Amino acid sequence: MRKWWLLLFVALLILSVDFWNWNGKQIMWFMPLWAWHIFILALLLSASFSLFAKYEWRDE
Amino acid sequence: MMAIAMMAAYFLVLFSLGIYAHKKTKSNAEDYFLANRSFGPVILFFTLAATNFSAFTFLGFAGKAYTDGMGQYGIMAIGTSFMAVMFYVIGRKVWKAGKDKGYITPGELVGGRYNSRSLQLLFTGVMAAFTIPYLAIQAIGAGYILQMIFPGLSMEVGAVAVMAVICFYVLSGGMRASGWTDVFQGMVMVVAMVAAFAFIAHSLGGFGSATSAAYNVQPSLFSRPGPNGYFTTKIWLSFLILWIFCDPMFPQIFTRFYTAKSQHSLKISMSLYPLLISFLFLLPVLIGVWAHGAGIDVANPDNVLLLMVKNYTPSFVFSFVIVGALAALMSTADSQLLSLSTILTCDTMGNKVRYSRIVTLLLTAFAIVFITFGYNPKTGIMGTLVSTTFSGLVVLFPSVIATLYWKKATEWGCMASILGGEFIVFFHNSMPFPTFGFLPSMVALAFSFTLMFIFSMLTFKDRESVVQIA
Repeated sequence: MRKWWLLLFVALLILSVDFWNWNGKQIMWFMPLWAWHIFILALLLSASFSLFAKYEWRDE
Repeated sequence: MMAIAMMAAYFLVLFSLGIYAHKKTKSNAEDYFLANRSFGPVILFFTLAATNFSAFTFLGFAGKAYTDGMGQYGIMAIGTSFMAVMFYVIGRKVWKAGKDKGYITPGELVGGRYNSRSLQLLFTGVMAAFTIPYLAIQAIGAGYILQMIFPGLSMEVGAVAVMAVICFYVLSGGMRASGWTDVFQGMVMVVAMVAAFAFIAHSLGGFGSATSAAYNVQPSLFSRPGPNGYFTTKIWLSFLILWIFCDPMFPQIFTRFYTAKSQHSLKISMSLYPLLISFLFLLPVLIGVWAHGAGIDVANPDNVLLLMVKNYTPSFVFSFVIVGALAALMSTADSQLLSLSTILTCDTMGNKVRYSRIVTLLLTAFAIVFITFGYNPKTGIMGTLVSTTFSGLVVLFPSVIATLYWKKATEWGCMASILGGEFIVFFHNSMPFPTFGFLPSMVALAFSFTLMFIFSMLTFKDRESVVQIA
């Protein structure tokens, strides 16, 4: 696994513990902002895994 | 009447898939236990998802969100999404080793690397010990769900009926039946949840109105750490690590890595997993939180989703959601039953399909006896195993990762890691010690990794007897 893939996944992992906005209460449409943050992170994770599977994961 | 028709149709499809799988399944071990390693991307993705998402996903998430707020979404969704990286880290290597060496069970892989029968048996014993009680609990859950449609039916009769159906199609078609029914059950589960969510939101005046009503009643539901202060950063981080490391250690997940037709199936599953989770996990959590705005008051939070569905959707949706909850439960239970019979047979008596069928019947009988005698799942050794399942399984992770990646790992390192980790799990359960805000399983996992390192370094010799894995 190339280093920058590892860096990307570690960055996403750190972003998923959003301690800087832990007590945030702001609601956007029907969810708190932090829940949107988690939702978008999961989508980004899905996209990252797709790219990883396509460009980095070599069949053995 | 509608409910009975839906339930009958659901069981009919399961029976049909079981019979069709039986016709397609040969009596050799690879075909029965692993569907001849032939699962393409669609089946593998659905079976990995449906197996992992149990009735807890359906009913428990809503219940936990009802008591502790929306933090339940974050704590479950992000950890389970990240877990998909293990399809590459572990799944790819397990798949390759299975293809090259003919492995069928996790124990064969871990024990096989060191030519250690003792380690193989220890690994399998731990996996089975923490999974068997869960199977019995699932059966009890099935009995209660059936009572929603048939109020006159006793929990015991419902549970036995569901176990009998599961046992039938597992015995008939092995992994092929389990995988195919998982696809069907996974689709039922997703459609039922989306239908419930859409109807409830509509009845409450739309998404925004439903949220506003709940926010006005209890704003703390929408922030962390939540109304009861549960979702701290340390607990959040603990669960994140726990799901990533623990989920692949479930025998029903681990054995599925062997069933992939190619690495392409694993790649697609890895990519789609977070996508499904991002929205599917959100639905029961929002329903649970919205219940406060709707004025729902329940004694048992696990009933909140069904109560919301009953109050705010047409009766046919309620019936369909009951079927969906049952599908979620059964897709996990059938996979547990098959994987347990597979590991208990192949790791102790060899790859004998006939013996495995006997073990399947014995496990089903055990679950039925467990239910019939009204055993309290919260007491005794079984209660301890149920309450420590995740902790008990996560300490297997260091052995697996070291077996796959670390050349200096030894069987003594693995044994010390597993036994030491389990000691911490049980010790904390009987005499709780401070864990500084983290889950106790994190302490057990750290201890397990440490023992793996120390004992492997102490006992490593450049032996030629070590088998190369993948």
